[in-house]
Amino acid sequence: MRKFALLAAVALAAALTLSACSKHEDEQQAASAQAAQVTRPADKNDTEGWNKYLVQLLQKNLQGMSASQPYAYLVTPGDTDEAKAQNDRQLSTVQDTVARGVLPGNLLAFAGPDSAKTADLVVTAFTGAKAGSFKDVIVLFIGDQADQQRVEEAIKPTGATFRFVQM
Amino acid sequence: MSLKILDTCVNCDVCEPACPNKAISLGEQFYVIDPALCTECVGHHDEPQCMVVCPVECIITDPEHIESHDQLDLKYRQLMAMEPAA
Repeated sequence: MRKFALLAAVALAAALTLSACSKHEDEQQAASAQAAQVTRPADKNDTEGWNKYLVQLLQKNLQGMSASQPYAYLVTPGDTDEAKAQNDRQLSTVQDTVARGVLPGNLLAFAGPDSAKTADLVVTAFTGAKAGSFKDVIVLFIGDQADQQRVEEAIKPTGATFRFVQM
Repeated sequence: MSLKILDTCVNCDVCEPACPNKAISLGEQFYVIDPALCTECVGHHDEPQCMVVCPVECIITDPEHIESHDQLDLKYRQLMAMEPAA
């Protein structure tokens, strides 16, 4: 009887220790996941920080995509010659994509620190797009609510599924 | 070693313009690095620019293309010699 009580006490102690360890590990994992979260940069010119933040939002909103990778278009803020060149190049890429059409199951994401600028790019690129050319394609716009409607209207004729995420 | 892009790439196109050797292009599903053109930025920068700018950190050194610093430097010089004069 005394042996049984001793064994039970040892088993209980082991179970409590394991439970405490497991809880500690869970807390550590949660803490590290939280640490890995990228916060919205305060400086619009922190390109690396913004790209990380926007891609993090993108990765949380890939539901419904059946392609293996999304296509993310990160629009550079600012009016420097370098930013203009990058944005012209990007607009040309998107216009080619829109003209060519996209296979069903793909997801195209548009984002940038300057929401209005990102919206301008989408609206320009989708002007004159063929009706129904983006059927079963998801177009994700990560920006400000103020720009949501005009982007949605520009996308609508293509038949794409529009998704908006507040940045 | 040259560098390699993993399939966690989100096709954000940030790395392509950052490459001084024009070694990065859009592949069938995601961006790829041409090992014949990648010098890991040796000759241009202190560290590979694509790795610096990639927001998802999906670029690694390619274990299938192992090259020493001297080999990368030689590749850089060969690439420069092939560039048309300005």
